[in-house]
Amino acid sequence: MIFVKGKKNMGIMLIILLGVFTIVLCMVEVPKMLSAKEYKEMIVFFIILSFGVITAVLKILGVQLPNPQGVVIFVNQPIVDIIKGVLEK
Amino acid sequence: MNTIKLSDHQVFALAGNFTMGTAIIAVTATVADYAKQDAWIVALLAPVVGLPLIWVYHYLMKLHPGKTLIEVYYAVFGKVIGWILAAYFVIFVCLLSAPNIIFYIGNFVQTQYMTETPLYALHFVFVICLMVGLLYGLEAIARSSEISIFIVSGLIIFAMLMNLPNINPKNLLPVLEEGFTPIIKASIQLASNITWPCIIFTMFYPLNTVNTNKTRNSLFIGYTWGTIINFICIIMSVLVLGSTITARSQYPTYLMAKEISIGIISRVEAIISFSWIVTETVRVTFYFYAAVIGITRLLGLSDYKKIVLPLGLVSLVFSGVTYPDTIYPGIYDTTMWVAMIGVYGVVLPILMLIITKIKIRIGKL
Repeated sequence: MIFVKGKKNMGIMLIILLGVFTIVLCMVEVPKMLSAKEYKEMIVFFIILSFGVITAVLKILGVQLPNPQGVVIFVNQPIVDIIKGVLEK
Repeated sequence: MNTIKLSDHQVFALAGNFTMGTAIIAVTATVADYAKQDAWIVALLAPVVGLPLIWVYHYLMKLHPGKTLIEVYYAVFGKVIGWILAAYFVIFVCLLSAPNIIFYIGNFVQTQYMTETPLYALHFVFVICLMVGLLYGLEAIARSSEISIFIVSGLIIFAMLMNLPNINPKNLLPVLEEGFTPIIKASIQLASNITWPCIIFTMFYPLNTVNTNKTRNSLFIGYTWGTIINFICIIMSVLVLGSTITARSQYPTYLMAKEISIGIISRVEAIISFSWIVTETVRVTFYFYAAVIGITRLLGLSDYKKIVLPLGLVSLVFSGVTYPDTIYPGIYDTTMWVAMIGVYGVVLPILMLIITKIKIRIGKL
């Protein structure tokens, strides 16, 4: 548990809070989108929300998540190598 | 969706707050690290060199009326390459900046004020604030920054005036000790934080304003306003603390405000941290707004407010992941961020301007 060390119930509390947040958000947003027939919005909404919930649960359980900046480093490493002389002190 | 129209003064306030953003506390140390006692020359040089670039952004968007940057990518590079470039811009420049800046704020509050509080508890408060701002919409953000810009600038100038008895002019000597090379290197670092990110403005700037030609002036004035405040902060840091301490400390402007002691007025550093957090919140709101609008445009959705809360959850989780410790941001921001924003803020806009001009000349646009 990353939030408070030594208090194991904290993680369970956070997962419950996360569940409440997710359910309330779905209850508010989904009927609106269904009545407006915005199915594309609904798919994007659920993809992002499930991604957020999964990463949040993993983080609460103390799993080391991969850093998204790895992609940036992979793409920009050649540029940084070329202009290294300018960037260094 | 595009019925929001910003007034000239709102654009000025947004540009000013955005430019002040990170620069007044966090970048001062980097600049002093590169340029030593000549940091004030950098703070004059970098914004002036950056002014034509702001004009490039303005002119590019003027040639594509009624479009955001995403559609300009489509129009210039075609559907496929344009989509890839735009997606990379939206996810890694705009969206990834939100957790990074939240980490900056949380780390500052944790190290200076609440040392026992976990980082996520602080991030949580800022993310809630960010979400409320975005759900109210762009106009609410613009109005709040309209109120805050003069308060923030006034407080910073007040703190700097209070610091006048502490200055030591010898700290600026010798001028140009190692020639112009360190100044150019430091200018690149400063510009990557204050000038080049202004490309974010193109996500709403000509689209949500009434008169593009008139608003251009307020954009320039806002940018100049922010750089002047930034210049005052940098020169006072070097004058009061000296270049060595400025370069070594993490938050020099904040440290300098602790030196104030005139009569009963002392320990007023909280006003500096207040101003910084306010401007930084405007900045993070901007990056997030650009990301949300960008995703909406990329996937062809109708309303951005639906995906704000799920994305907020994602940024809250990743605010503790993207920067694992306090050493990492220093290395990342001086290398990878400069390269990435350099491509998206300097190379691509100029390239797109040239291609647009050619396309207009041969009548394809």
